[in-house]
Order: sequence, then C-alpha cells, then structure tokens
Amino acid sequence: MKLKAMYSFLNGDLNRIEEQLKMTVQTSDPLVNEASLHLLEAGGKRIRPVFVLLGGQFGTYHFEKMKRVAVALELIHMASLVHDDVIDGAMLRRGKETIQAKWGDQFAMYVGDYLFARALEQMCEIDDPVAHHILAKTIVEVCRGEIEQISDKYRFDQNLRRYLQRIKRKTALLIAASCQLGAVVAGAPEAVHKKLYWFGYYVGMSFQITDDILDFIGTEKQLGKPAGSDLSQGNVTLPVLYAMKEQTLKEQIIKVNEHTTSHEMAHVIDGIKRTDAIEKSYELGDRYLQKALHTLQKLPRNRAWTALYNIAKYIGKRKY
Amino acid sequence: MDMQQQMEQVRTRIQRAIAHSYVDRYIQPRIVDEDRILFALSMLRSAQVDANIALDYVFAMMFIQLALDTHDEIDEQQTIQQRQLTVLAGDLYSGLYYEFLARRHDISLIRRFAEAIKEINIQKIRLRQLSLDDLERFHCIGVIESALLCKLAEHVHADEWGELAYYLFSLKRVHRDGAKSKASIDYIDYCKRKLQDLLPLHIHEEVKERFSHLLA
Repeated sequence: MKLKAMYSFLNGDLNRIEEQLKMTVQTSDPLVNEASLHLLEAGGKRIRPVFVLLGGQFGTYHFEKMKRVAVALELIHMASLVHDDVIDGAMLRRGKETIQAKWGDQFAMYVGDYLFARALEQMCEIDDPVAHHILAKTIVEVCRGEIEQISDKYRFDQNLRRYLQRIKRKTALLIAASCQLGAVVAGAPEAVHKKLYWFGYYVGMSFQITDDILDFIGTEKQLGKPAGSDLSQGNVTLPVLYAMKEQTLKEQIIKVNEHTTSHEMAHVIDGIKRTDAIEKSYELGDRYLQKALHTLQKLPRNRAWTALYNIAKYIGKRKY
Repeated sequence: MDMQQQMEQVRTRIQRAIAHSYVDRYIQPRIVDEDRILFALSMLRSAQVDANIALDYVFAMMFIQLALDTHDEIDEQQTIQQRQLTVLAGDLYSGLYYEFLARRHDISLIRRFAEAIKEINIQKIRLRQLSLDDLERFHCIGVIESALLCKLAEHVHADEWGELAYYLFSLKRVHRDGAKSKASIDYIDYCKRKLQDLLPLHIHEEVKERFSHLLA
C-alpha cells in the first residue's frame, strides 16, 4: 500500500492545507513570493500536517484549528530546510535548486526567518497555552540538537546514548509534537495526547535509524547522494557505532575526516556492511517501531488509528 | 530599580541565556544593543507597565533582535563551522523568544513580534534589490530598525513611541553606515527635523542623552 493511500480520507483537508500554505507565504514583495513558492512547489510528503490531522481525530476535530497548526508546523519545517541548506551549502533539494544556490546565503537566511514568522502568526490563531508551550519547547530542542550534531562531527568517541539523544532532537521531537499538537488543539484528554506524543516519538526514532541505515545500503540513485555520505560528512550514526565494536574496523573509521577520498570511503563502507552493524541497527529501529505500535494499542480505535498503524508499519519497512 | 540597573539586568539575563560553550568558541561574541534596551524600558515606564513585566518584554524583544542580528552576520568569509553555527545560533534565539513568551502565555505579544519579524525580513529582502540612491531604501531601513519597538509600543498602547523609534533608529543606522550619497545626507537631516518635533513629547532625559550625539 502506498503511503498516501493510508490516509486518503484526509485528501480534501490536505488539499485545503496546501492552498492555505500558498496563501500564507504570499506577500507584497514579488521576490519573497517567488522564493516561497519555489520551495512549496518543490513538494515534500507533508507528513507533519498528516500527523496533525490524524492526531486531531482523537478529539473534537475542527478543521480551521487543525489547519493553523498543520500550516505552522509545515512552515517551520520549510524554514529549517532553507537554513539547513545554508548550513550544508546544498545546491539541490528534491531535484530543484535550493534558495541559497539561487539567491545566496543572506537571502536564504531572510526567507527562512520570514517563513518562521509566518508560522508563528498562524499558530497565534490558536489560543491554547499548552499548544504553544509544546511547539516552542520543540523548536528550541530541535535547534539545540542541530548544534549538537555539528559539535559531534568526526567525534568517534561518542556513545549510543548521545546518538539517540541527537536523533531524538533532530527528527523524533517534531513528529511527536505534530501528533500531539493535533490532539491538544482538538481538546483530547491529556492521557490521549501524551500517548500520541510517545507514538510520534517512537516512530520518529525508528524513521531516523532507518534513514541512517539506508545511507549505507541504499544506492546513489535511491538516496540522491553517494552511499555513506553521512559518515564522510562526519555524522557518526548507529551503524558506525556498532561497526566500531570491531577493533580493526574502528581503527579505519576513526581516521575518516573531511579529506578522506571516495576510494578510501568505499573501503570503510564495505567494511561496515560486512559486520553485523546493519542488522543490529535494524533491530534497534524495530524495537522503537514495536514501542510505537504498543503505545498505539492504548489509544481508542478509529480510522486515524488505522492510518497511524499503517504509517508506522510503512516507515519500518521502507527501503528508501 | 533605576534604569541603569534594569538595563544591566536585561543584559545579564540575555547573556546568561545565550551562553553556549561550543557556539561561543566559534562565533563572534554577540553584542546586545543597549540603545534598544534603554529605549524600550523608557517607553514601557512611560506607559506605566509594571517593572517586572517590562523586563520580560524587553528580554523577549532582545532575543529576537539578537536572532536577526546574528543572521545578518552570515557571510562568505566565515569558515564552514562559523557559518553553520551562526545560522543555528540565530535560530536558537528565535526559538528562545517564542519559548519565553509561550511560558508567560503571552500569545498576543508572540503574534505582534512575529508580525515584526515578518516585516523586517521582507524589508531586508527589498533593501537588497534597491540602489544606493533609491529613496525607498530609507523606508526599508526604518522598518528594519524599528519594527520590533513599534510592535511593542502598540502592545502597550504607546503608539507615539513607535514613530519616535522609526526616526531615531533609522538615523542611527544611516549614521552608522556612513552617509554614502546625497540622499543619505538629506535623510539624516530629515530624521533630525522629525525628531526635534517628536522628542519634546517624550520626557525621558535618558533617551535624549543617549542619542544626543546623533541629534547634534
């Protein structure tokens, strides 16, 4: 089953969210409009709005309120992508030129800040302090996580706990907040929105672990970048941590730096793939997935429940 | 608590909140603009806002100012790490403003400041497209330099301070950038004249004293 088919009952609302996204980023300056639409038209799965809408089905679902939160979260995500492209010096995203490649770093900074402001304006239509508190805390944690990711580059002495904390901040928190915020704004009981938070958190952890595995086993065509790019950029991910349990391989891995050639990298990647690191990483990813499914069992069953179940399963099985 | 002590308190709180052992190693120490702190405190005092609330408002506003200023520092001369951390530090300060006001349940001020951030960034983009002798530049500069203060003024129903902020901080910026054209020199004169009309309405000597070098 394709991902979109799992929540096809949301199609109408998702189309209206897409319209709202386009309307929200419009302004009097043609260049700002061009840049914002350039980003929107590059597409994306809109998975955060999906989680918001599904979370909302566990309470009293008012589309107008859901729309504000969904648009806010997607704009925050977009703003962070624009800034991430400045951080990475990325030229392409989803096959299209990045904002910074097309208009420069400074311009990209302004567009990112503009989108962030637009997101908060949307969110301010929600008069619920708990919702604001959750979102604000998430934003701060995500930023701290990104700083951590930079400080941890090429640091091969880090442990599993540090890695898990990093992927929590990098990926899991925003998914957790998306699931929870939909329910909070829909007035779902605390016990329900907190379970949705944990569901999103476990799914997010599993998703990122799978992503980190795919970076080693995917093809360049599937990944849109050379295999092992994370490691060559200094990101010490789960397969690397497990692979370093083999002393000989560890000695090769810790020598990786900005100047490591692609030939040398290919040798290291082969070494990692020959160990049980990929298998053990899958096992940990699956443990998070099982936790997500277990949390879901405690939630009332409805069509959103089924969609969340299928999405979690899909994420666990995805190959690229 | 007198104005100096309040200013010191805002500055210390901000520096404590943004201290980050790793980030601080790579990016320039951030400068907290004391002129803005003084102006905002003076305005809030004039609007009879409770001193503790005033400190919180200025604290939140200065987080945003720092975020915007930090992102202005992005340039191609920076090392990769400096550039990366400059982006992220700015993002973090933006998040901290939101988190701080969300904790205070002050959604109305979050909204006003978000409107200011939006306007400022639109004008920054606009400014990049204008030539040095285009008079629209000065409007862009005025908004960039004063939107946060104007929104705070609106929030406490002290709108007249917004106009004052617009001319005062435009003047400061054009002065700082150096009068590069006849248009800049004319605009400096124009701001001074506007401020001569506006300043007598505002009684705080601290503000006049602080900006006296610009008004001379």
